[in-house]
Amino acid sequence: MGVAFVLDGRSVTVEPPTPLTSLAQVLRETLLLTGTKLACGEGFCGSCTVHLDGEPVLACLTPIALVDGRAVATVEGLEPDGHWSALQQAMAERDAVQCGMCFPGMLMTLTAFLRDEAEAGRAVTADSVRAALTGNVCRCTGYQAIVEATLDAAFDAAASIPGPEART
Amino acid sequence: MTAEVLRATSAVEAVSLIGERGAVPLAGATWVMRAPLRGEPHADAYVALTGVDELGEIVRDGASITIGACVSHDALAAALCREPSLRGLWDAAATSATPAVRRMATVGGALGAAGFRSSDLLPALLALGAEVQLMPSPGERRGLPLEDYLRRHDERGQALVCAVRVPAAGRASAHRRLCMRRGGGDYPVAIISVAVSASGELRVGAGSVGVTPRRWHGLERALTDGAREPEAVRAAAEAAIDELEPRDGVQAPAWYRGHVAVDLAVAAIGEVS
Repeated sequence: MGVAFVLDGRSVTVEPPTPLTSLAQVLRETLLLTGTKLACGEGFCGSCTVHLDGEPVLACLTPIALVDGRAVATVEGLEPDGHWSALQQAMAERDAVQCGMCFPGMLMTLTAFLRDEAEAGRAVTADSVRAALTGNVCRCTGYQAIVEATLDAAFDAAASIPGPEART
Repeated sequence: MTAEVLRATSAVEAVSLIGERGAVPLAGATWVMRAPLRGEPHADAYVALTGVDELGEIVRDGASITIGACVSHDALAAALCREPSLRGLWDAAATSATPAVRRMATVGGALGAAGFRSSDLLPALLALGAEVQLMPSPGERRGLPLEDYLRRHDERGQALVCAVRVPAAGRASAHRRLCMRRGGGDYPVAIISVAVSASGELRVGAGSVGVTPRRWHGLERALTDGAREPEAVRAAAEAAIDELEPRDGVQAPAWYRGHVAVDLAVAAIGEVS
């Protein structure tokens, strides 16, 4: 069973072990994109968050069969031209990264969050950032720097942060 | 044996595959994908409903709202934000689980996930008197009160859940839940949903307290006379708590779930009274 989809802007076809193999497994073990982390494996921690047709979803709970014909964006796709996004830059400047296990999921969640808030014309606040991160657990408990970096990015004049793919 | 994922483009086709191949409906997949973690085997065949457009619709007909089985929690919350009488259902859809799960998990999944104790949607739908719209065989449709559907476990897996129909007007509703983690994201210790009709009829749904979501008939009966001051509600809820059969669990012991359920009932009924 071949599954064809667009991955970070390029077309790929994979032959997964089963149709219910998770997208996270396929990304890591077949496509060797290990930026997407597989931690809890049951949808609680958010470390496997990727974008599916532009929306953040949990790759550990997404069967590869349901990805056929769709667009997937991973943390690797946030810098297609080798340059960090404004959000990644803000995270670096705030020294927000700790062990790094949760961080790719945080970036994918917050990239979509900032895009959606900008599109809706809503102000980004510390509370709204924390609400967006409800499903992204950091066991280093380093949320504060992540929240502050996200606010930095939101207030940056260049922070109409584009997603790595067009929304469909 | 490797599970097979079949595709349907219509509800009729999906029902045919359920009947002919024994396929299990697959939409958001958040429950199905965790089957191995629950020690359950995957089914031999699933039928993906993501290509069935008719199951993803929300239709208003004035007196009611019909919510397609493939509508996600997130989409439901977005659709209900201007429906004051469905505030309880909006709260349930907008606050359950985590944002990513809410984008994936569907209304039909909540109904089909037998054994899931902590659904937010089911207590809210029970309180609102929702009806499940089923397709037991290709082209045949019938409605069943949600409360009956939840009792008839044999109905699950044999008929396709197409939608839930919710009376849309003339009532006030509220939804209260308590998670152990600040900001939510984990399974609630207890969930209480309530709705009061214009004539004063009270309906209460409970989730996460016992092993299945259910109506709280004992509390409803105790409050039929309209005396819904907090003290009266608390006394009635404490007297009727055994009906919910609070369960022990990793998150909380039974006695604590019972206490929380009482507090949530007082708060929720206070909100709509």
